[in-house]
Amino acid sequence: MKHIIKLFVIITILFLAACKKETTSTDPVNEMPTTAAIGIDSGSFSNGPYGSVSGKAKIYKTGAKYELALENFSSSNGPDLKVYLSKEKQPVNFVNLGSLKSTAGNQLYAIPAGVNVNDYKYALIHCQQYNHLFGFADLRP
Amino acid sequence: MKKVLFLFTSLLLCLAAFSQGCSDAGFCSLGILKNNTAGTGKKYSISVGANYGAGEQNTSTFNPYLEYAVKANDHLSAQIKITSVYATGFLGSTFNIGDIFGFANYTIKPKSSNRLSFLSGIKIPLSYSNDKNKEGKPLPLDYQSSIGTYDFIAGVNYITREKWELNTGIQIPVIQKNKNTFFPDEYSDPLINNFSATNNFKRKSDALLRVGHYLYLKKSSVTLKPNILAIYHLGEDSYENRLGQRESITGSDGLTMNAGIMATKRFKNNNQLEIVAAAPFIVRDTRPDGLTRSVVLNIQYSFRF
Repeated sequence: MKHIIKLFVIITILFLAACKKETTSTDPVNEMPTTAAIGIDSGSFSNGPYGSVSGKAKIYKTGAKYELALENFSSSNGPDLKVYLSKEKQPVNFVNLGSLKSTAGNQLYAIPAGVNVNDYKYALIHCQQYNHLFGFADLRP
Repeated sequence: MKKVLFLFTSLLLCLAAFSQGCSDAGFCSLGILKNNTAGTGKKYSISVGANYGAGEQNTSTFNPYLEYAVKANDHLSAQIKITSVYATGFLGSTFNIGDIFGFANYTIKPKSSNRLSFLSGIKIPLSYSNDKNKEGKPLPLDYQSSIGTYDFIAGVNYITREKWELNTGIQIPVIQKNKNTFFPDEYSDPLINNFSATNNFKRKSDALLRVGHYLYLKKSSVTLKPNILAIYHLGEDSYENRLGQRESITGSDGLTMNAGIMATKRFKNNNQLEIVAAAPFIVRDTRPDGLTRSVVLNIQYSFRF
């Protein structure tokens, strides 16, 4: 019985040591599009069911390249926040632009070549791991 | 005999210096598939062990684990094993709990010098394979403590005249719960391009075949087992690209061949010390699952009571 208790204690210690939160950086980012960039569609963020998001999402075109800018952006934190361009508010057909760089500031995300930005009407802040929508912006001309 | 051992050890060290591989998803180091030693008459054992592995791009992994075994009778035993991983490299450091294995071993004629044993079990992941570095960026699977799959494991061990050992086994991912979100283009360091994208990674099955030869050093009650281990990855793994489409990872299937040596010391109180060194000499072209090791060292101590 002593051995089993020791085993249980060691396993508990292992679990406690491994227990941690996986969160997005809170250090503000300040990335700006180049002066040659032309603004296309944009929209203001609204809160989703699982988070609070504010600021503006705007698509910029520089030559043949497209970028999504998050401007004056702020979001509540989460374990696995991603930036999506999506055809729907709850993402089914989407482009994953990458991990949210910070919960605050001005941020730029490259849109992969070949993506027709006109097909995607929403910018989303989405927790991928738990499929939770934190916020969305309806992108309009 | 000393010359043979010296040559084998030298070969192992040379292989370790030049190759990458290993590819053990868990079953190579499980119960009778790792080491099928003769019975002791003790009913219970608790084993404490650790692996050290040198991985891709100098990622080092330290993998402590605990194992608890109960012997129902001479034929049947059951074991439970829990793992954890500390990984460190140029992308950062992580520690997390890994997997829990539950499995049973059955030996047909336990007192015979020709023994046939079977193993059957499961692996349950205890993490989502999505640990981040201190900047909050997703890390590749090399840094994760689990691949995030619920696996079925089965194996056969045959020992003939206490001299030769043959192991075969299969590890099949049944439920895939990997939540990794790693894309290399989120980092600026060019070394990152050595890691494959593993966003929502899905893994294929593995099969193993191992041949080992027992050498008994009776004066010191040490048993040595040099062995050759082949692991065949039965298909290409896949990930979800930035458009949400699943893509196969070219070159992630195929053969890994390892050479290894195991030393087992049985003490008078029936406790046991095991030391293993292994290194690969044939590897898969692409190894996105993070099981890449240029060398693996393992030490395990078993308390029996």
